[in-house]
Amino acid sequence: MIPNILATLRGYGKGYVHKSDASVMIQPMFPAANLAIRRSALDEVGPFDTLCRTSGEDNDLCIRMLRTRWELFYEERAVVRHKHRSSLKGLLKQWHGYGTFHPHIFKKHTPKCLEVVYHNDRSLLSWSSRRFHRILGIPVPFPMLVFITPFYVLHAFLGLLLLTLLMDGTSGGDRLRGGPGVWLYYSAGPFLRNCIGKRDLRWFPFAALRYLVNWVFVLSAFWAGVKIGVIYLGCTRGGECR
Amino acid sequence: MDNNSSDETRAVAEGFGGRLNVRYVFEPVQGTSTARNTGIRHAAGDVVVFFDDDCVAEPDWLHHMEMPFVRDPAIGMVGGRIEDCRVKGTLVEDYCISESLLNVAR
Repeated sequence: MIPNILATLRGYGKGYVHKSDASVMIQPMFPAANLAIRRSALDEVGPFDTLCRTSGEDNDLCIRMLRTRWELFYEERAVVRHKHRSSLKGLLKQWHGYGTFHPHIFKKHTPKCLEVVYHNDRSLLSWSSRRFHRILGIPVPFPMLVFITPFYVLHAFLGLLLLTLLMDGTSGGDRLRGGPGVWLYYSAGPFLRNCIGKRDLRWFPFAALRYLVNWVFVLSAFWAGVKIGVIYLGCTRGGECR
Repeated sequence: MDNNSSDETRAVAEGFGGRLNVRYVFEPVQGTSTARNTGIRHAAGDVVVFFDDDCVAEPDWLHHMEMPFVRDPAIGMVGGRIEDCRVKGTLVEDYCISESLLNVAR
């Protein structure tokens, strides 16, 4: 806080990263594609975690740095241009990699507790900690992370819709009527809205890719978590909706 | 860092010999962390900067990465801005650009 104020007074306060107490999986991080670290800080926190074979090593290092006295600074003038995956196979492999190593980072840095994190769809801020909010931190026998995002809400809606159809004609079905409509507004709406808003006619294939990527990430992270004793119900951080 | 890759990494790196102050280092054990850690062991400066093979740096990039360390001794880590670049123009690439995952500034 004080360095932030001092920095603002000096006129370059914009880039100091706020060290929040949010879940480690939603804390601000710098991708290693464009990252610099002071040698003395690196000696203090140690090298990259070699268990992170294809991804997550930068998340891990940033989490460790956030717990030291060192300041983390975002320099927007230091620009690199990143080439994205161009094939579907490459994209899914990338997200499978994220899914495989994120539960490891979560387990490493979180005490045995249930963390429920919801995604604040309406925020215009970045995807970093400010767009996610931790709402629960209950002690449980094993580390457990649940993201509540439009992806999960969408499937809750589909389940409710199915239930309504199955119970059609019964008194329970009458009570459920209208519920799925409201649910849809809050789930599929955010999931698709921003694609539509872009006035890009490819919004449908983009939404389909987003859906597929979510499944790959959610399943690979859940499976990787089970193998190390963690329940990890994650989400992709690239705008479920933007 | 050549992390046991099958492309022409060595030839490309040595092609810069004499023009740039670069050193070719081979790390047989594959994995981003292992490769970066080997790089750390070979780096001699006060600041270690990481950069990936799927990125292109702006000409003044390294200068801007260094300046915060010079300005404020309390700064231990600096992250730069990651912009998109459109190379092949496939649907998947454009999707990634629309998500812009690594662009933390947005």
